[in-house]
Amino acid sequence: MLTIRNLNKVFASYPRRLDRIKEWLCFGSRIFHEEIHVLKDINLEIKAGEAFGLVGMNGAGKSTLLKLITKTMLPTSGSIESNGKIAALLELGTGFHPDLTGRENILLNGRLHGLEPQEITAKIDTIKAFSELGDYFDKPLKKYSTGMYVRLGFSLAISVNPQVLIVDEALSVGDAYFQQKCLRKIRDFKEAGVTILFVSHDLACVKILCDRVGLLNKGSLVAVGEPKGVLDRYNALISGHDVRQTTKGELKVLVSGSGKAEIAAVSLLNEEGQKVQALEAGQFCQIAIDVLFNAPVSNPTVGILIRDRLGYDVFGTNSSHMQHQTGDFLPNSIGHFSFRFAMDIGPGEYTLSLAIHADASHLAENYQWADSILLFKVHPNKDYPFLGVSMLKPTFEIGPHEVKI
Amino acid sequence: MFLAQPLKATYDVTTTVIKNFGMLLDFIRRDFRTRYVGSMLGGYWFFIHPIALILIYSVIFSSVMRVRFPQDLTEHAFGFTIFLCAGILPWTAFSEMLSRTTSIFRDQANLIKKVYFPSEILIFVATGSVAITFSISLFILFVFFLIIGHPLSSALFYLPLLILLQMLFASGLGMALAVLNVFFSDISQMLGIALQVWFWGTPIVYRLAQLPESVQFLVKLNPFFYFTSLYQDILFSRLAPSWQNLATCAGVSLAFFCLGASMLEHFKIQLLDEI
Repeated sequence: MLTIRNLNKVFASYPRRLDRIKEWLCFGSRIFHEEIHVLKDINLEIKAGEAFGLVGMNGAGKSTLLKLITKTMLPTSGSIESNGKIAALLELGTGFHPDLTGRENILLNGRLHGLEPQEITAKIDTIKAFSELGDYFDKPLKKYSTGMYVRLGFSLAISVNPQVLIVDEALSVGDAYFQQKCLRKIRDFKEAGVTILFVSHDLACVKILCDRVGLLNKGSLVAVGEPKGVLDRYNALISGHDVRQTTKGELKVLVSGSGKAEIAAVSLLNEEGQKVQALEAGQFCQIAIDVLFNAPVSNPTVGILIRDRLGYDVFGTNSSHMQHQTGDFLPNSIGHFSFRFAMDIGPGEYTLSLAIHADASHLAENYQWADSILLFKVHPNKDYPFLGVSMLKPTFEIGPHEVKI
Repeated sequence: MFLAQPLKATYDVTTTVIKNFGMLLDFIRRDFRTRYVGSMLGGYWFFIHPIALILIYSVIFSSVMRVRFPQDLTEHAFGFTIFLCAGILPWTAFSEMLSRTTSIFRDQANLIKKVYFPSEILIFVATGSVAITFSISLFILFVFFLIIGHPLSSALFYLPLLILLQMLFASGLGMALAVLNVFFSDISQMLGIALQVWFWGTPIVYRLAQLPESVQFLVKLNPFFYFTSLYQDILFSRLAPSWQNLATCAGVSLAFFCLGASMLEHFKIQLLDEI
């Protein structure tokens, strides 16, 4: 459990070093610094066993908030309470010395990471086993690879039995096998009632891991809720400009962008060119997009993104990834674009998001980004049954028979 | 009352140190463990350094330069060496304590920024670890005394108390300087120069009586003078320390400790922001 109440953090910024001395000499009667409000009135309650994701642009105040939670910084006002130890998988292996062995480093740094001396001796074998370092556990750290270093750090960090666990991209260093092991461990923690705070730019990961997500923007917590909604809002935010929410049928559509171009119509067509809302897996189809240009635009990029019911990205591409020049458009002209492909994805419900922007990514000038503008279904293919989310179409061969003597 | 805040700060810092004594020892252990790691002689260096220092002084001042000072210094062939060591070993420890504490928050910024722990204990890690090497060098000095035939006396039992007071003094002043050094790194540069001046302003290579009387009062304003004269009483003259001097040392140490603790507590939030 983690409870944050009316949390504020203000940094004092002195234009010159001398200004601080001047202020001391005036005993506060004159002020020589500017105040920078990094976090504004944050209120948040994360329950035990809940995985909470925190997203926000660089400079939104994420790291400051984490530092306040881990107490490496103190708040200007407000409080942060938790029901037990807080472990951060942020800086794995802090305090480790390259000339000491893994074992010595654990023994000398265990207390710094929140382990009592008797716990360290009791747990050192578990730590060694989890890290899977084998003989390297008794070799100096300077002989370690980056991955091994992270494994040692992670093994120590999780051995403290925290009540709150803070996780970030630190995990992305290890190999895929160890990453999975870590994620499993984090899931075990979660089931055991540990509060997980996950901070990452990897939105797919946030979606998979988190029950709720908070969006931090310019020091304020602007949205807290279901991952999909908050992450769509975050996406809209990083593409810049105004965000408005329009309702199109039963779908909530989040639209953002400069408005130089806007999506006039979009439809999903089958191979006969008829509008459909459902397709069979593997069926040939076309996504037809009409774009109205409000300003002169040269070579816009048109992109599609298909997401599944949980909001995970299934497939996305755009005209510049596909090496297409779209040409010049005058104001008040309409462009017709279409993507043709076989819907080689597994049965389920999907949403389609569209983007029109200046460069290969929507982080350049974004004309319009429309989230979940279309909902469609994919039905199982009766002639080609398969499991899973992708329709890979392998071949199958049978080798010659051999008779065992 | 205006003393309430400093007293509370002193109490807070003291309890933090007591509560986290185990971690403090871990840090000191780590400091010792890593200092000579990778060297051939390893831990022997802790002994080699003071031995070398004492040998150099004794060769220079008893054979090469044959310094002649007032009669009590020359009674013994090694008289000046003993006098010098009695003053210079504590001074070296004191100046090392100060320079290490002053820059400790900057040196350990990576640790302080990344993991939560009561960072004030780092001050005591620095002074404590120097106090241990200082004790080793005193031990070497006793061995040297036995070899050259300078008898040890029961006054030596006052040394632990004196070292403790010196630690308190250095920790207090060090805390104040360390706080300032986080905001202005010029402090540790200035300290280098200040320590030179301070060294020559303390009767370590000379005696107070050798100074003109008009200047002597200045030396008496120097708090470390009282420490030096106690060390000289104990190690050189083999006298039990005067209670007056001991009380002065204790008073100075406590006052500086109060000052340092107050500054640390007062700037706690800004300190962590700035590191």
